[in-house]
Amino acid sequence: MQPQQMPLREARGLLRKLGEFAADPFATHSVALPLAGRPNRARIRQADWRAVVLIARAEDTVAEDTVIVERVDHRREVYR
Amino acid sequence: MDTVTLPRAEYEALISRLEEAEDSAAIDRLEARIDEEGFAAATADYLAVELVARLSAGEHPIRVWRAHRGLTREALAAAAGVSPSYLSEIETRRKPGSLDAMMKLAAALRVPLDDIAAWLKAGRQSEKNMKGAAEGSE
Repeated sequence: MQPQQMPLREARGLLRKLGEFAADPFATHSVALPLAGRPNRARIRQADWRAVVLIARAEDTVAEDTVIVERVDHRREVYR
Repeated sequence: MDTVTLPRAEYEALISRLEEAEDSAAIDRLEARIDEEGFAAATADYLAVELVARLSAGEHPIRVWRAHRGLTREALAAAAGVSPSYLSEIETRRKPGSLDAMMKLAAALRVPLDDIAAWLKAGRQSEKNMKGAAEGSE
């Protein structure tokens, strides 16, 4: 499913969590799961959705990290 | 045809590992692009969180992408070959915009038309949901 199909309530929830994460990306966040054991990668969950992020630094800025959301995806579903 | 049956917990563990592998690969590709093209070029089509919030609040995607590209309404209208007054009517949802105009605007903004269309659809649905919620509370 595409991010545009995300229910509004969950989109807002995910944006809020991403904001909290981006305020201090290398701190420990209860909403973030590690990814592949790399400190600059994480996944942030909102219900059945997840945002996959990279913490990167633009070469022309001195100390500003940017949290790049590379993909937002919904968990695969199976008929029960 | 072979059929495999497995416990749900094992199925879910497999799905989790698959998702993690896909997510890692996506980040690998992004890092490679940043190395190759530089940070600014590799992230030129990524919207700042404020602009994503504007999209999810229902603002017209043409207007949000125009802000991202740093174009005035007149500059985008000229680049796309549509009149500024028509662009204004599209951005404020007074007119839906012809397919031809939307194709030209998306091309001038370097955004896939599908992406614009998906946000327009999402905007209409959220409007409907909010209307439904307002009616429901009466």
